[in-house]
Amino acid sequence: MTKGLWRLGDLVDRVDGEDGRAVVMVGQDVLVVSPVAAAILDLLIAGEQSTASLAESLEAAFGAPVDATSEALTTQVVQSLLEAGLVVAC
Amino acid sequence: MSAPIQIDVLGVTIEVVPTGKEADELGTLLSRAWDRCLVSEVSTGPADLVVHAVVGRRTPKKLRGEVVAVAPSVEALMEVVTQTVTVEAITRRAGDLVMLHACALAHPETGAVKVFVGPSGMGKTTIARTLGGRWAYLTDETAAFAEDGELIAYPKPLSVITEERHKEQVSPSDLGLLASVQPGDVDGLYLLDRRDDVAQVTLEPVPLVEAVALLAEHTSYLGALERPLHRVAEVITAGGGLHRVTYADAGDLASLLNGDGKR
Repeated sequence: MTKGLWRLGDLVDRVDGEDGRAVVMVGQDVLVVSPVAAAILDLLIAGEQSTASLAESLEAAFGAPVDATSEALTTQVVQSLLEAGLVVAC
Repeated sequence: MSAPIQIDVLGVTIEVVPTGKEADELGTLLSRAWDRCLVSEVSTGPADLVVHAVVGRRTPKKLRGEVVAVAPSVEALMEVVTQTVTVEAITRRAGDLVMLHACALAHPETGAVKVFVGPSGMGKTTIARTLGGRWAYLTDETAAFAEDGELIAYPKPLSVITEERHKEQVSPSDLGLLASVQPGDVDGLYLLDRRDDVAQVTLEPVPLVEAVALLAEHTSYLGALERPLHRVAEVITAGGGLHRVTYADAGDLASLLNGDGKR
């Protein structure tokens, strides 16, 4: 999956919070997503991106993670977004 | 057939037509229970929708294809009529109004509105009955907001459990609830959390993203709205944010109604 290419799912709506989190609606589901997940959704607005590219952008925005690689953490978050239908594989 | 009544339900004019042997009794009870929603005269114009109210076991053949509320007794039919007209009106306003499952009360002079959101069983009707003698009763069912933020009152009958453990549809007037005033701005928006084991009312502000997610759960036809989360967020923001209110007894919430209701 780390070499995957991702694009934004069919979001119905999104509202951003002051703390970086966002509440999103996909289909009939409403979910609160973390700042990192919200940032991934932001990055995918511009178009499809690879996990590596997302990881690089996230590291630039949030700094390098302490206990794992950026790509591993990005993979984890993308996977949860994928399961929720917020991103889809290209 | 008794004379039909016309009621305003969330801006939808519904003509309820009592039908059958007990139509006269039903008509009288409906007029009384729905007194706060009555449109002045049936002659005011055609209704948006006609609902036939029938005491019986099944829908009469001649009414097939029509909207029909049917129940085996007048008492049971009163409740079915309430459910039917509410569902029909909510369905017709889908995509237009933000419709929160809520009780709403208004300050009798300023019109400032308090909205208490929660699922069935969380105390909305009890709050209306307990506090509606001081603040005007707007609804115990659906607080509906137009796009410009205006709250549309729905002062329906309240469902009261009698000593015989029957549910009875009772007019807010018969319960001594203050008549609706023109609702003003929302001054308090509360998510109800009723617990038996709390000693006092506590208020906890809910961050916007969680507030939107929580109220989305209590919004009818959310997905039919354009920019649904933004519409809910606008209601929250206009109301000064969402607060989770933890309480044990509806009377304790009177502390939220002190003052003139203005922030």
